[in-house]
Amino acid sequence: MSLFNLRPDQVVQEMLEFNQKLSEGLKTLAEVQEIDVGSTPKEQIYQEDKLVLYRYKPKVDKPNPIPVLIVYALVNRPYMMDLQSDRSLIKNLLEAGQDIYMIDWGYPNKVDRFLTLADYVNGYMHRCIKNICKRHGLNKINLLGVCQGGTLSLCYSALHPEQVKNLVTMVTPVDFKTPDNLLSLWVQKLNVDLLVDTLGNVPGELLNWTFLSMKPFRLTGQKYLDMVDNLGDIETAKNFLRMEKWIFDSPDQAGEAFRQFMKDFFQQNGLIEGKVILGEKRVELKNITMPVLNIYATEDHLVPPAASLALKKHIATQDYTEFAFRGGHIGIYVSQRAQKEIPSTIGRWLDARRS
Amino acid sequence: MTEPANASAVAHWLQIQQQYLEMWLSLAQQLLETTTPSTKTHQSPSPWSEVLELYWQTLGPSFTPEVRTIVRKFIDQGKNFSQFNNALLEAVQKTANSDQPAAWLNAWNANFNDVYNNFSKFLLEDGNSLNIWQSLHSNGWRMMMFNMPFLSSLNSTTLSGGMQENLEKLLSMPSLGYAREWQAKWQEGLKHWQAFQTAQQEYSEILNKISLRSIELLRKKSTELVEENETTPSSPKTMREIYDLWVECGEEAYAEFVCTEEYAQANANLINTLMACKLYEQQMTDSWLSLLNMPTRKELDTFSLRMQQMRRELKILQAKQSTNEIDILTCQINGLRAELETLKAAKANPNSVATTTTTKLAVIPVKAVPASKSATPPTPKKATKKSMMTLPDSSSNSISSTSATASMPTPPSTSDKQGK
Repeated sequence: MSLFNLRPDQVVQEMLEFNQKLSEGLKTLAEVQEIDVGSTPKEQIYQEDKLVLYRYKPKVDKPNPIPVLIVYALVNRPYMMDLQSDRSLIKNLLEAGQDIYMIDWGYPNKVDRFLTLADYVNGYMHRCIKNICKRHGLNKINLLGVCQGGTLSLCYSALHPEQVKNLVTMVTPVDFKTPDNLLSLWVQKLNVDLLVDTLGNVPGELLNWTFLSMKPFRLTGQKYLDMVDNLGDIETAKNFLRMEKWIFDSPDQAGEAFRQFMKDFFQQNGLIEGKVILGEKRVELKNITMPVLNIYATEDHLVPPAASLALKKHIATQDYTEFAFRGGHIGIYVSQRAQKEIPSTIGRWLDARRS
Repeated sequence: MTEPANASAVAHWLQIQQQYLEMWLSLAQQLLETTTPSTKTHQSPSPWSEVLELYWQTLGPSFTPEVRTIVRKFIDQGKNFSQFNNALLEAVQKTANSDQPAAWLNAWNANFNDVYNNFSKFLLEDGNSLNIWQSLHSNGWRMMMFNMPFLSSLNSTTLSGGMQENLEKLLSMPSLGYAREWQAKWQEGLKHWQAFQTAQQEYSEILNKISLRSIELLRKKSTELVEENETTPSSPKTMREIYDLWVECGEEAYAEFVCTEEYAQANANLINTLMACKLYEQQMTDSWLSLLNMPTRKELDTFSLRMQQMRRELKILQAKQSTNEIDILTCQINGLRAELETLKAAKANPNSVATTTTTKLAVIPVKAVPASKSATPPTPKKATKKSMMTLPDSSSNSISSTSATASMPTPPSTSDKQGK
C-alpha cells in the first residue's frame, strides 16, 4: 500500500484544473458589481443618533398583535438576519405570522466613544420599545435578542420587565466563564482599561482578527480554496460574497460600552453574579419572570451551549423553553435547516403566548 | 548540461505555468495597447503566482471596492496553494530521484521522513506565505497598531546580544539635570518597547511550537492513514486532500495550545504591552501638539465626553417633556370618559330632558403637569385662563360630543370632582 496515492502526472493535471477553475471563478466574480444584502421590504420608523429602527412589512393579513423587536449584537451588522431571500430568518418569521421590528445600531465613531451600555439598554433600546408600544397601543412587546443582543435583551428585561411580554434569546452568552469558552479565556488577562484608554473606540478589525484567530487555518485559507470549486455559478458566488461582506463588515465598538462589556461580563461574569450595574440599577436576572425561549446552537464555537444554557438557573420565570439547533453560530442564521426550524419554532412559541 | 531526472515533473509543471504567464503577458500588452511587443521571454521561479499578480494588476481595478477585497483573498490563497504544491512536489521529487510513478510511491513509503523533512523546512520558512501567523499579522489592523513613529525606530535587533545589556544600563540610569523629565519620558518609552519586544518573542515561540506540532501531527496522521489503508482506501489521492489534511492538523495543533493558560497569558501580554507602547506614543504626540498649540487627543476626548453627557441630559429632558404631553392627553381622555359616563347615565334614563352641549378640548395647559403626578392628571380648565393655550386650529383639534342632562342626578365627572 502507498502512503499517498499520488502520481506526478496526476498532480500536474490537478494543478492545471485548479488554476483553470480559479481563473473561471475570478471571471465570475468580475461580473458581480454590487453585493446586495437584505431583501425583505422594510421601512424606517424611528431614528436616533446612528440608530435606526426598522419595521418589516408583514406578510400575513393578521399577524400576531404583539410585535417582535429584534435586538442584534453590537459587534456585527444585523442584516445577517435577512441576508438574501432564501436565507432570511426575518422573511420566515414574517411568514410565520409575526410582526417584526429590528434595531440597526449603526457604525459608532469618535463622537460615540463615551456611549455606555446603560445608554444602549436604558436609552436606545428603551426608546425603541416605547415607540413600538405607542404605535401598537400596547404596554409590552416581544423581544428577540441575538448573540450579544441577547445579553442586552436580558439586561433590559431584568430592568424593565413591565415592557417585555415574551423574551426569546438566540445564541446568547449568559455564563461567560464556562470552561469551553475560548474567547473568555483569552480576555481574562487582558488589560481592558489600557486597551480602551489607548484605542478609544475599539476597531472592528481587531474583533475580526480575534474571531479569525479562533480557527485561523480554516478561516483564512481553506475556506477560499473550498469555494474555488463553486465559483463558476454566479448565484453561488454571490451567496459567498454576501457572507464575506457580513463577516468583515464589523463596526467599531464604542469604547466605554466595550470596556464595560469586557470587564463586567467577560472578566467578572457579572450577569450571573449580579454585578452588572446599568445606570443606577443592578441587573438582577431573577427579575425575569416573563416567558423565555432560549435557543442555542450545539456546535457554537463562539458562544458554547453551556454559556447559553446557564440562563435557566438564574431567572425566575415559570415558563422556560429551550431549543437546541444542530449547527454552529453562523449556521443558525443562514443554513437551510435554520430557515426551516428557527422561525417556525419562534412563531409557534410566541403565538401560544399571545394572551 | 543535462537536466537531472528528478526535476522532470516539477519542470513539466513549471513549463505549464510559464505558458500561462506568457499568455497573460501577451494579453496585458494588448490591454495596455503596447505598440512594441516584448521580445524577451520573462522567466520566473514561480510563474503561476506571477500570472495571478498580473491578473490582479490588469483586472483588479475593474472590481468594485467590496468585491476587490475578496478577490484579493482568492488570489492570495491560489498563490499559497500553488506554493504548497510546488514545495511538496519538490520534496517528493528530491526523495524519489525519478519522475516515474513507482519511484514516487516508493518515496512516500520508504523515504517518508526525508519527504517530510524537506517539506517541513518549507512550512517553517519565515518568508513563506503559507505561514498562517504572518498572514494574520499582516492584516490592516496590525499595520495600524504597529505604526508608532516614536518607537518604531528601535527595531528588534536593537535588543539583541550586547545591545540588550547596554539598553538595560541606559534604562537604569537616573534622569538628571535640566532635561531630566524628557530623559525620564524616553526611558519610559524604551521600557515599554522592551516589554513589547519580549512579549512578541514569547508569543512567536508559542506559534513556532504550534507549527512544529502541526507538522508532527501531519506525519502521525499520514502514517495512520497508511495503516487504515490496509482495509479502506482512504489515503489522499490529490494534492488538495493533502492540503486539507495539513489544515486539519494545523487546527488541531492550534487548538491544543490556544486553550492553555500559557497562550492566554502570552496573547494578553502581547496586546497589553503593545497598548502601553501605543498609549506612550499618543502621550508623546500630545506633548508635541500642545507645544504647537494644536488640539490634542486628550482634549478631543474631553470634548466627546462632555458632548455625550449633554446628549444624555437632553434625552432625559425630552423624555420628561414627552411624559408631560402624555399627562395632558391622559387628562383629556379622562374628561371624555367622564362625559361618556354622563351620556350613558342619560341614556339609561329615557325620561331625562336632552340638551345638547359641545365640549371642546381645544385647550391644553402648558407646563402644568409634573411627570410624577400622571396618576392623578389635572382637570382641563377654562380657556379663558392665561396659563392655557388654544391650539392653532381649534376646529380640527376639537372633539364634539353630545351629552344628555338627566333628570336623575348624574354621577359627578372627574372634572367636577377636581373642580371642587
